[in-house]
Amino acid sequence: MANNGRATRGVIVVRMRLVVLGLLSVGLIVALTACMGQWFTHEQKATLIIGQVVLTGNRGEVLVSVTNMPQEGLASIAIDNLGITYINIKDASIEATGLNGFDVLAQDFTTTPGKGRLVAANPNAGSEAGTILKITFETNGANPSLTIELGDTGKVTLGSHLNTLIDPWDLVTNKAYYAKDAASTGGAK
Amino acid sequence: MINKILVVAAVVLSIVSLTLVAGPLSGTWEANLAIDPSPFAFTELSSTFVVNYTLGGFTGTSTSEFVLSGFIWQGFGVTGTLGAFDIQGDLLFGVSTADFIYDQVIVTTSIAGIEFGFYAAQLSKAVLGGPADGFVVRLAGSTQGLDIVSISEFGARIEDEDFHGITIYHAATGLHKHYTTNPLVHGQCFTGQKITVSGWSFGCVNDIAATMYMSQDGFEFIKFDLTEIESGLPWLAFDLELKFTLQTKSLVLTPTLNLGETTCIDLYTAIVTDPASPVSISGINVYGLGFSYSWNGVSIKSLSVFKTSCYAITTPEYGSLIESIAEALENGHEYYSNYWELFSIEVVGDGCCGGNYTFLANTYFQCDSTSLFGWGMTHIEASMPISSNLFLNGEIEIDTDGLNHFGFAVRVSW
Repeated sequence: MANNGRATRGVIVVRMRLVVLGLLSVGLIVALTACMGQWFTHEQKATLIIGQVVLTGNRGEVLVSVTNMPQEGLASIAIDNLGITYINIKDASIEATGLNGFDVLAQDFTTTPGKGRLVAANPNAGSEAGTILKITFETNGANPSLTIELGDTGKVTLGSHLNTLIDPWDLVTNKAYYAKDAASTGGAK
Repeated sequence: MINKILVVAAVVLSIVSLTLVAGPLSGTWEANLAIDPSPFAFTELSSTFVVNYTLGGFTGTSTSEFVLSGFIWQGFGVTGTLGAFDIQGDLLFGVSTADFIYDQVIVTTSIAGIEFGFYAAQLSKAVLGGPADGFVVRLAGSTQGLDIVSISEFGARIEDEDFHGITIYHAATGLHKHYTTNPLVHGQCFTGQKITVSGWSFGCVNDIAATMYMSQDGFEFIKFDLTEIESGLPWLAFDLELKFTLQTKSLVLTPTLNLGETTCIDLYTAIVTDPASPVSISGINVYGLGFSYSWNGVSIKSLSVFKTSCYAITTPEYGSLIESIAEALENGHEYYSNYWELFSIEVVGDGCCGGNYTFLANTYFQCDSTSLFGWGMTHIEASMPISSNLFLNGEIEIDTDGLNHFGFAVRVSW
């Protein structure tokens, strides 16, 4: 009796495996059939992302990130022609710090009130995606903001690790999240 | 707006349901507070709350992450076994914006010696790069000493030697989550096929692997990796990667130096090649020196970096190792860029209630410092169990400007 029971269970297990394999095969064929004529991809442009202001009391910070950077990644960024605009922030308190291997080579937030510029570079590697800059400041009013403006002329220049200009690219200020096909970012501390 | 209300309601309902069905519950709560004294600012105030609930061989997990600026992530996970199938599921919400962010399902099993894996994932349109969804079928097996892996991609990729999975960032805080399955596009079917055959071994080569990748556009690349090609010299070997794309061919020959194992002194070396001719070896660069020794729970370590433009000491969180800056960036490791030398002492002992207490003091030295012996910074951290369920951790950092960091953490488990 016991042997019969085991044999029956064995047959059921084998049948179950066959059923599962059959279903998987059918699923695969259906999926492949459904693909006919739908082969296309959405190319994503290189993107510079300005995070929202994070406030702690009268201090705040804004993170600048990138994603989909070509040519082995972003290695330099120049924001000229006073391309950084800020409101209700103390000029002298603004400080940009490089992240993820980037060093801030020059910055100016005091010459023209409400406007700023900076140059940063990563001498060791390109960043295909991740956070590259942190800008910290003290507020002097309600609802402070700090963002980058593109304007009519090229206020922002992006350079790749292969010493080429990255163009075209998008500026994104309204997305709370971004994703990347890469390991988590590290960098100098 | 309705979607956001529904998402928040689903999150709250799930948490409440989990609490109401309180049975075999376990979990941890960990809170971190970090202060920068000058100027005074909270640099970190975070809280992670994890609840595990086990039912019928499946464990459900709820993970909530808070920082000073708000409630950032709410994640749910499930792992378990159903017959011959191992199942894992993950679901992520962005609470501060009330958005669904990501989900993935991974089903793996082994049938007649063949490993079968099904990976499916969705990425929300709330994430830059979304909406996207797709799945991957992975088959792996061995025959006649060869390992064969087939990966069929239908709008997604999985983490392996060539791809990294997906990391999702909260743009305002930089907080991130990492998952195995990376959905690439929306409504996409077949997008790629990768076949890897490895395990070939000849007398002078440890391992030969061949990988071919086809996308929906056709042939992408085929590459051959030869690992540890013997040179005839016991201390010198080569790794070789030969890669063909549609219009290019590349050959990367990487010499590796094997100086053998030492008891307590490590010499960090690299072979220098001529940039104009990578197969021309022009010298050996000694870029670091390390000393380490342990006895009776006390470990001392010293690291010196001689080429700080290319190499650095990683932070204690990443093991206090000498690593090339390029590799640290690629691997997501934090490192100190200002310090060239480390003296470290670590003490580990039995705590009062089953866990271990640890004390770590790292002192770093910098080149351009005018302080005594070129001292740059001291990092001290200690952790100890207060009871079997309560764990405390504290750390301070003092540099040439004075106290620059103070942190405190508590972990409760039940």
